[in-house]
Amino acid sequence: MNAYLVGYDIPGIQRYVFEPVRPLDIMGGSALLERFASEAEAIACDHEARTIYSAGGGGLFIAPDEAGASRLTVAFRNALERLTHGGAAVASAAIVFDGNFSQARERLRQRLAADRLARLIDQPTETLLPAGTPPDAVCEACGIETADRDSTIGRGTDQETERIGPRCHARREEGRKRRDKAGGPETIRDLFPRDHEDDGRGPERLPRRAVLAALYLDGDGLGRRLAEIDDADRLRAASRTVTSGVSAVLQDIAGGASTRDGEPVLTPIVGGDDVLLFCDARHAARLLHELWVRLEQRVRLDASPARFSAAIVLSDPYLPLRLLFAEAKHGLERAKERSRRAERAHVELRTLLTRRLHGGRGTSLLGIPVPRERFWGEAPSLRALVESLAKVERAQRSGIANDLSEPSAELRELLLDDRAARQTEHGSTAVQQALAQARDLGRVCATDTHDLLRAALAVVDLWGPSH
Amino acid sequence: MSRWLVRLSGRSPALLGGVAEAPAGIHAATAFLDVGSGQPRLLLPGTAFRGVLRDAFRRFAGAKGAPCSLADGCSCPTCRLFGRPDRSGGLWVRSALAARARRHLAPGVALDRQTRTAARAEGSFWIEERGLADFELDVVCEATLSSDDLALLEDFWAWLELVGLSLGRRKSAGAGQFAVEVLASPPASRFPPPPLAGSEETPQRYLLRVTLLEPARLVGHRQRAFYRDGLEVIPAATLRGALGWALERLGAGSAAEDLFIKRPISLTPAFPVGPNDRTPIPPWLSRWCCDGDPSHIVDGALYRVAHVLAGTWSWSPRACPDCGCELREFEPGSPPPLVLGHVTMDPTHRRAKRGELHYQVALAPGTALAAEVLARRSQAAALHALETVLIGGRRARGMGLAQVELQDLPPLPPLRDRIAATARRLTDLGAHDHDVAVLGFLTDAAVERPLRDILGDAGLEVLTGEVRSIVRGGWDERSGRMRPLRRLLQAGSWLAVRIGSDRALAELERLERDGIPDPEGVAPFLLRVRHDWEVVAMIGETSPATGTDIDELVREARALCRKHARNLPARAGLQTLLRFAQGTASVEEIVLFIEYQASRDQLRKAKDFLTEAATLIADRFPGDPEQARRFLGLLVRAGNVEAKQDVQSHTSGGRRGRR
Repeated sequence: MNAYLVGYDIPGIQRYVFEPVRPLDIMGGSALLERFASEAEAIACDHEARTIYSAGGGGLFIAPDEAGASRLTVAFRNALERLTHGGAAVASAAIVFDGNFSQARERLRQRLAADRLARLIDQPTETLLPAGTPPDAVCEACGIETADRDSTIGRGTDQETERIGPRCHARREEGRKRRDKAGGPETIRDLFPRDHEDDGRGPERLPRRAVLAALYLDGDGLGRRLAEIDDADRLRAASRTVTSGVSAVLQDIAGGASTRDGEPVLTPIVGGDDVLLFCDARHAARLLHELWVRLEQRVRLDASPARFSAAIVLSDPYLPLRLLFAEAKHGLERAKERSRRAERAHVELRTLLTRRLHGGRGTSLLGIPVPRERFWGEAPSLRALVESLAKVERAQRSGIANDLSEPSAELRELLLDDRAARQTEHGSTAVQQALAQARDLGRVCATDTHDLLRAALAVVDLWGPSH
Repeated sequence: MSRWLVRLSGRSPALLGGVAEAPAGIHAATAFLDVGSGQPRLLLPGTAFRGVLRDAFRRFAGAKGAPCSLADGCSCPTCRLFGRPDRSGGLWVRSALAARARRHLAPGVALDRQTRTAARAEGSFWIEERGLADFELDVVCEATLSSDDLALLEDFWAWLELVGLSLGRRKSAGAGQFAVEVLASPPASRFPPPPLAGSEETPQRYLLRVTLLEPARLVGHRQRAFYRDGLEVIPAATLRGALGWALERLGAGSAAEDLFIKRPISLTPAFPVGPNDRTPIPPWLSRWCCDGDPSHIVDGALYRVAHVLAGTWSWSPRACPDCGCELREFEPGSPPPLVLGHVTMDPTHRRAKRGELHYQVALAPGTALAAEVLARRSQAAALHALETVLIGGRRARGMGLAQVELQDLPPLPPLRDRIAATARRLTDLGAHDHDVAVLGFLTDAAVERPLRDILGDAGLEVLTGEVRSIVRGGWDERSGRMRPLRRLLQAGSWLAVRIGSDRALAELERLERDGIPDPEGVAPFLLRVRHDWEVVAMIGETSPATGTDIDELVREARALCRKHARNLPARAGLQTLLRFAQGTASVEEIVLFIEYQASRDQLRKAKDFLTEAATLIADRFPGDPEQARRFLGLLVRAGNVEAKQDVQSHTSGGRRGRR
């Protein structure tokens, strides 16, 4: 009797996760998909199938026979339907496993793609809300389903009640469970400390000049390395190492943050080797450094530590989170591309804060992704540049920002040199040293000194030594 | 229709802060646009100007005996012209973009009231970035105003011209004062009725380029009680409404009826494009991008088709066929969002109402989008004559004005040729003798029956494809209620279909021509048979390199100072030259003054430098005192830098490494 290779794939994960706008619901959506991945393993076990991997929106199993494989594909669909109340759908398929693992996976991939396609072209267009639906009948969390219950959000005096639908209810409850387990925050507001200025400031309520950061990390080439493993057992072991390692590190970070340092983080997405988290931007660089160190210790493939590229996006905290995610995704792609070429981890620093510091280059602060050690390591690094810039008087920093806004590169250079010379005359070498740091870093990273200075100016109040 | 042009001349720099806060040592920043790419541009949002105008008008009308009761249902002149929360007003105020804005840094300290000296507390040193600019804004009233309202408004304009206006933040500290000049402008010229041609005319392809002149508020469905996310494209229905409305306003209602009802044109959504983008409209899915320099974009659809048909090729391309570099999935970039904050004013206290700060995501002015249009030549003439349209929401508050331009596109090859091209490419990829068409979705589409069934009825068998979905709803103006919110098939998706017979080919031609009817009857689902490698040529201007002329000037100034580094005059001496230059409009006089300085005994050491500088200025900037002054300004700084560097290199035995 032939064994069967069974797979599932959840299309439109990003759409499903980012449909609601509140971080608790986003976190809940992601947690539901994680829970589905664990339940899929249990379902496979019940059907006497062997799990090769189940994480990050995809799974692969070996079922003993055709009937078992068929029951498994149906069970996956029902389980996700039940968990998400129809908010997410799974494509699942089974094919005969004739011994050649790589070929069987390729055929399965094709079948899953056909199944995904069928979901869209084998049914008429889905109507989410019928014509003329009154506004008060629409779910206040996502806006795309009919509301049928009240739900509270926030804590203490910030608590609000809103009407939501069953899909968002499922997300929110799951998000709460995860938050209660890890003890993390519930809203973006909870990421920032409160001060007396915030009292009675209306619905924006966030501290003035609060900056939100999104951190997005992904293993370099881990997917490819896993895809190249042509043995089911080895693939299973490798996949488990990656998934459990990443989860453990995230639990450490989220748990530790909530109990030790009081620096809360929101981890809306953890799937496979992907990690997305939101935090107060003042902690972003240190948190990334910590994540790198811990991931290196915990996630190993073929005895060598996995390499993680990263993107940090800085933003005003009221921007839609999907914009932060889109920017982080774009940044991460650039960082991974660099990492692949240079064979070492890179990080891209992007901002949605303001366009005036970007030099017309989109939203990349450093111009290009920089190697990990040039980000938060020993000099020359962005950290060292930020530290030396923090020693420059605030008014001089404003002046440097002013100099950097000139369109002519030669003029910028002259203005900076002149500023440094004049400051030296007055007995302060801080500007001179900051310029020297920027030039050193620009040389080793092969990037524009002025971009680096702009980036450092943008983050000096966030990542300067006082933080 | 009445129309006025309001000219605002900046008297003091304004703090027109958006929500963008500059963290680089500046505490409150004016929201300049695109500073890095050239001259800073300053946006005065129509909503900000409208709010200030309303407040001034309310006080003026009150003094003239027509006060506002500030109550619901008030019908005073202020509420008639500027609206109330429950009713829109008659006046529309456009936004304005000042091309030549000057940036000012305004430092300040808080004073300690007891010691009457600068406070030493944290945060008492405050730097603001303000902008000085002149603006020209259109104020338009679409309806006919009563003679009383018109007279009051004319009096109000005259009063404003006398007293001026303050805009933006920190008005009480003297920021944002403007002199006002109001000119009555003629209403936009009526539109000549386009010639109506016979129905036998064949539709042609055009590229409709939309460049935003104001922020555009294009929103998706409601996500929270007060929040709607911004869209990154202009949906076809929105574009259709904007064009029709623009024609109607210009008195060309018959042209609008012809374009959208009698002989409806085909219109795709408008997608963001760069000035020189070579990208298909809409951007097809399954595109791959290589890591090479230049980067190539590879169409991966046929790899997938070949794999399904023959299994001979990989599911997706592995390496770039042009340069062999590694490929990754290509996601077109999205335009940068512009997040605008706005407040509701408390008319009693004349300040922002507590808790009434809202944010909205918009597309920034300058964003370019393009849509493809299939229209008859006579219909295109009507669109050609349009210069601007208003797109999206908050149009009365200075949002949505966009420039439109219609460009010819080459006709598509005949259907059979496109299918043949696909077959040839598939043969190259190892799938021989297949009659396959790759159907691209030009519009976001709803279907009443499964798409596979609709195509199956036409004799077309679906082989494979890449299809994504997108949530779209809308508002029906005619019935005054929401349209259904649906999960549509997204534009840019594609399906490969096998053509089994001649009938199927004929059906394919019909589908491409007529599309699939929309269940709501708004716009049909448009499909196109793609050919092997389709790129729409985008015609766009190259943005000029900025700052190159100044680069050259700086290099000359530095070279001159470096040459004479040991014999330069002191900084004060160079500043004397600059100060003199600022007081005269004659380059000859500037040159004479420098030569005079060179002849003085006190500056004997710097004689060569000064003589060379005078010669250079006389040769390079004859009749251009502005450039001569700029060059002298550079000499002041370059002199300081080069003298110091010379000393350093002398002491350290080598020149410091530069960037």
